[in-house]
Amino acid sequence: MRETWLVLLEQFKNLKVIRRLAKYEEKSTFQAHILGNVWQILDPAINIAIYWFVFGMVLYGNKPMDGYSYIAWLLPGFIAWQFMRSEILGASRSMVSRVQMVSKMQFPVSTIPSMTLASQLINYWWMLGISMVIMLMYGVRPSFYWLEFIYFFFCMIVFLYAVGLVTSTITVVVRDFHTLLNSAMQLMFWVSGAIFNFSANAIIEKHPMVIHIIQINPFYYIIAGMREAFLGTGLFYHDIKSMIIFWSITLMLLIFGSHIHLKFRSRFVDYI
Amino acid sequence: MDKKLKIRARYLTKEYDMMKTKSDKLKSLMPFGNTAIEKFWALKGVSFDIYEGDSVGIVGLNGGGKSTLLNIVSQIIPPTSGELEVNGTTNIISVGAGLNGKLSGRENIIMKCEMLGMSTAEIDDKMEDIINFSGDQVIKKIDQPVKTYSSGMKSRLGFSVLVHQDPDILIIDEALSVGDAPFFEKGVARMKEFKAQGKTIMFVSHSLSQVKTLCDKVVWIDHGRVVMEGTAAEVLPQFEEFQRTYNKKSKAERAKITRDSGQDFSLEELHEAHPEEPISYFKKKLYDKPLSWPTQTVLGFLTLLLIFTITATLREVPLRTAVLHPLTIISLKWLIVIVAVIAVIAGIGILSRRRKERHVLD
Repeated sequence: MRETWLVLLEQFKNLKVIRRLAKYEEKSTFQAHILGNVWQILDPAINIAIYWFVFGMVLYGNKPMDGYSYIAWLLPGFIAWQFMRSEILGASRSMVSRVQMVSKMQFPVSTIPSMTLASQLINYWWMLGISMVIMLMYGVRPSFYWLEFIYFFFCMIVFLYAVGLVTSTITVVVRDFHTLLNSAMQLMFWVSGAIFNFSANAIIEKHPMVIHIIQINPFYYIIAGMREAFLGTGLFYHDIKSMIIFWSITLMLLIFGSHIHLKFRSRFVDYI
Repeated sequence: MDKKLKIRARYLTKEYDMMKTKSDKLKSLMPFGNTAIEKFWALKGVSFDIYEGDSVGIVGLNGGGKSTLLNIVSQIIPPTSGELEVNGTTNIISVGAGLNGKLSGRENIIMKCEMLGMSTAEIDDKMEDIINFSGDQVIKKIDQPVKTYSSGMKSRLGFSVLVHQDPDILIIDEALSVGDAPFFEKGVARMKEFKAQGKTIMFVSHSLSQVKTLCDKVVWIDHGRVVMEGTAAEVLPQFEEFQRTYNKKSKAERAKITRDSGQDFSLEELHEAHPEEPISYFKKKLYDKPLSWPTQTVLGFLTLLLIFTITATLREVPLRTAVLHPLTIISLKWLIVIVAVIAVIAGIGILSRRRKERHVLD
């Protein structure tokens, strides 16, 4: 417990540095590109267009979801997914790619995953802004439900940091882990409900067990929650069971992550 | 002695895992204690005091623990046990401090300074000095990506950033060997400037002439222990003598000495040798311990909570009913089976720990 506390304290102490260094990371990622930072929006925008076409038009035939058109239903969950995916993959590599840089200075290494988080977050705000405009065009109206966003956003950040702490440390020790994670995220994409509406599927409705298993998935909790918030279809405290499952998984990851992080932080350089 | 105490080290030790195989690496990830991995003691109880204005040279053979010691004093890596008290800010300068190849020289300077905790105003202030210090070649290319620099330019830039920090205690790990002769001169001049300001310097170098010119006090470290401490005139001749005899030994012989000395140590022995010191000096610190029992309890509780809630979800039992009547989500038969399995696992765990303890006693 003390380890978790130490790690969290380091994040809060270094918030400013994290934010500023995240900006430099942004800069260096797209430094060689002609369009530069435009890619950060262009890339997910192309993705959204594809899924809109394939699922919204071809598969669901423009059938409304939860009373909204598919694109309005897709966006809040999908951009959250896109953010989580790139954050987790980025964070798992973050320690490996940056430890050389910080190895010879007094630097709180536990902030490295947060740096990836912060730089991806800049991206997320852009996407959120754009999708809000699209959602408004497709008939979504602001409501008090939008306040739920704060809660689910908090869930998302804590969860992502916990996962980042665990994966970044493991990747340093076992390099294969990043590749494994990449495949796992592919699978997660299809079962996290980012593009499918599981509750509107006739076949799945016959097998409620499938839905229950999907509900255990923390990604599903966040994605479904974001949708509830923006589309105003539910309140977060109604599903206590999912809440307990999500938070116990997150806390376990956080405790385990900070333990192995502190255990390995002094030896990161030896492994690389 | 009215000089202020800057660094006080008591019985510092550092233990490394020797990870020879990939499976050893995997084993080290397990949270519940692991004793099977081969250990190596790089430091075996190093104690010293450094006062304000001292410039202390650390000499010793390769692999003797000098760099480990400097890294511990500059708080980059934590010691395994022992007490370290540092009054003031430290700054370590060493070769090969990383730069981001994709960013320009100027951006790298800003980034490095930010990482070292400088404010924006300070960085603006020192920017020109840093660029000028790193030499003409770097000045020309300062706004180009660092990956286009030569390796000498890179290390000069890195060195220049570090040398412009303003720490109370400066720790230099062989950094002066970077760059050509004029740059070396500049580096030495800068060190002397620091010294004139009354700052504390700790200095590792293989060049004994550098140690002689810069340091008033010398600590000789060999195989993780302090062999001798004193003025440069006292220690250096003896060290040179030792170095000559050591160099006559064959390579295999030297490797064996290093390997054996890394294992030939335990914290209990160190405590027995210094029984008057408090026991806390000889206890391993938090990060090298397995999970503490409160953490294990919390983790266990969370696991049980998770399993309970997942079962309730899968059985479609509302949470309230599940809490009031736990038997609705799990039949008594299964509950007994699960409890039995947990009990067996716990029993095996306790037994194996006992066996390990007995093994240690033998």
